[in-house]
Amino acid sequence: MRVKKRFLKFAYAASLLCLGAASSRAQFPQSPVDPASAESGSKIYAGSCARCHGEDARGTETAPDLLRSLAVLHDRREMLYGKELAPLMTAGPNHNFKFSEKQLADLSQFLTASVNGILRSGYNAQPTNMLSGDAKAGEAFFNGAGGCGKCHSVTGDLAGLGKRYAPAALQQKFLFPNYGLFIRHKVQATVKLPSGKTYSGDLVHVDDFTVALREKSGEYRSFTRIAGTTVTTVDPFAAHVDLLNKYTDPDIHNLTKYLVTLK
Amino acid sequence: MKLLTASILALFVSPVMLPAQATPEPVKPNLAKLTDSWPTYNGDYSGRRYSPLAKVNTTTVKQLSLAWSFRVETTTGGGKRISATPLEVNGVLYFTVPSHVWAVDARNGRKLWQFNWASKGGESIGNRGAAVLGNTLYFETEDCNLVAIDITTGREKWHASIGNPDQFYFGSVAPVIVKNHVMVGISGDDFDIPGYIEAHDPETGALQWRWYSHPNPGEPEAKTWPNDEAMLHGGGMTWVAGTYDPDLNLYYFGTGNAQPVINGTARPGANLYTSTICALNPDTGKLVWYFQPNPHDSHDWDAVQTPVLIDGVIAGRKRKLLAQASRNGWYFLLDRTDGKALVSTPFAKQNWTLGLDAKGTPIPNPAKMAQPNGALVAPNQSGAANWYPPSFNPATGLFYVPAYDAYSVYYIYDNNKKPEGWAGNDRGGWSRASLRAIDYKTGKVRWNHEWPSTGGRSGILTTAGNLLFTGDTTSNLVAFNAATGAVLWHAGLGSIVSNGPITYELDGLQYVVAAAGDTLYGFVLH
Repeated sequence: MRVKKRFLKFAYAASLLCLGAASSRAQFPQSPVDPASAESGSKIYAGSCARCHGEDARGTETAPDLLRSLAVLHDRREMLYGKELAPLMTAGPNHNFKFSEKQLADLSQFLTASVNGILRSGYNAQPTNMLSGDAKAGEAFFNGAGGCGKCHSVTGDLAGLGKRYAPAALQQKFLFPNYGLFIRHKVQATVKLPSGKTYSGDLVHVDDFTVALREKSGEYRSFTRIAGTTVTTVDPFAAHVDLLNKYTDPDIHNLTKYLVTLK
Repeated sequence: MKLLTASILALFVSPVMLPAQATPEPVKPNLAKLTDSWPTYNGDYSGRRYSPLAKVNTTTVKQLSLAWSFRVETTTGGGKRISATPLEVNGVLYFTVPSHVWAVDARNGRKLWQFNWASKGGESIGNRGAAVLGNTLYFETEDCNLVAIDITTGREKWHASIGNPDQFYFGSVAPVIVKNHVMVGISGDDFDIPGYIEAHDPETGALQWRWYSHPNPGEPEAKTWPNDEAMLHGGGMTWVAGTYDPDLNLYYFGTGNAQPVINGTARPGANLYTSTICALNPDTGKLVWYFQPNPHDSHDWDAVQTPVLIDGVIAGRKRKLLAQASRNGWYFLLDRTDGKALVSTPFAKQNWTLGLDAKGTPIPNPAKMAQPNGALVAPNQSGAANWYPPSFNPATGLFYVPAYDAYSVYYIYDNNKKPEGWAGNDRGGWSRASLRAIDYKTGKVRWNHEWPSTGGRSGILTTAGNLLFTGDTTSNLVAFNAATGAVLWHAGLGSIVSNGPITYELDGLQYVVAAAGDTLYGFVLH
């Protein structure tokens, strides 16, 4: 059981990772960064540049935003490791920096990392303020308007939920349990043929023309949806989908806070 | 044997070999009559994607059968998916993927030539197609060049820069020829840069003008930004080919979302001209009017969906109209002479507005902008509609759109006082996918075909045969009765239909062509 839980946790994390990978393709070429070099660069930046260009390199009233600097962006895309930034370091306004090749490369890597961090797939892609809700109100929603208690029990299937998921993942899990690559409960399909014979199982594929399912025995069956064939599907998460039309945002924040307390 | 000889010959003749019947005359496509050609991204200038051909119709469509297929095997940067709408001119199809162009015989799918651009890198998410004027084809590369190619030889004539890829600009838009202007849009919303439209000289490639999708500092509309720094880095990419009214001499297109994308707290205001439908004079590049479907966007909802030109009758009066089913879930019907809204109404699930202002512009609800602890929003980031071409059929009076009802949660990740880039994103989601037919006069849904599962989207073609062609969410090209929404025909293509289907007639035979992933399929009615 423990292994299964671990797997599920891993599976969900993996599904999020896969989504992240898809969006990170949005920055081609990638201009990858060596973390150690960027770390060294951040120290040089803090010591020599931050006072005028700002701690976040986004500029101040006295010096421009370096993330939007054409010179920095060119250095990043071409991966020049500071070669063309060198003249600016000595000749720019109030600049008189004589950095070594290594220092320039480190500074370049720090700035590249700073630019990479603001792109579509930037940062750690993690919400940070998930516990702003009211646990008591969340509990009331769980047992009342949300109707969660009809299917779930905080001492049964949800016991220790707060230990199983980080708050951000937990919130996604109750909002969209049928989202991601590893779905625990498949949509159930029943196909009734014109002959009256019926087949049921996990839905594998459905479009307007064919339907395929996997029976409990493991057998795969597919059918052409000829006249007289009926296909009915049951989404095990239908109650969660219904809630999407009912939640207020405070309901969501409160429920998150409450479920996180289930240690 | 004949086939074999031809194949062997083809091996020894250079890839610039002409089709047997060729030496194409310099063409000026007849934009009013889409019969033997499909000469622009949308077929004609109107964006209707409606063909007057009717040999394939609700009775005969069942006999439509596969004539040929053509598979793309060359790519750069992973972009092999054909999202281009092919052009068909003088019996030759021209289509693109990022940094590559093909000329293919429209009767049998045989390659005439292939053009490979040596890309220096850029986003290769897709390329929507080419434009042809006379003997020249124009297309955009992922590393920001407009390339002119001789359509008889497949060789480059010239190329011209259309942007700086260092700033995350890239080319993906199908150019549009308007008189002596090659109209060029630009892509890229990873970074805080302004969008623009350019016109280039079709002979030399020289830049004629550039119009930025922001006001000039000091203009009244500049007050929709807190300061010039925010405005000049405010986004508004021009992702999709525009439409054109020759009588009014106006070029219509939508602009992309504002930047920074998700955390908009440091750019209070409507943020003109982002997520805006614009009408430009193509000779001067001057803005004539604008209407903003999506003020102060913070959900990545551009308003670049094709602005479809409709000559209709409203309250007994002939009107020149423009319709858009926008990514934010709202349908807009405008008077295209002045941009005044006649109809503003949701066509899909949406929960982000507080109503409409006096101009018919939705008023965003601040509570439904991204929040550090999440806000549940409909539609999701992919939108109720997206770039996939819609269609308008004048015979049914219906506007057709691939519509998604969807929820996701929007989070702010970066609370810096000067957020940049994205600074947040949406996560997770639930969606339901439909093909939706909307009464163009009212925006009311006349029929809705809910797909049995969610998945991809496709462009739409309608015809005088009372047919609608589009892809389903899995891998079928499907023909519907355009008036009733009844499914009449389908073909499984192994991948989601990834472009807008087209149709044309050659030698008395009507063809329907659609792409699915890396393959173009030609169907014909014998």
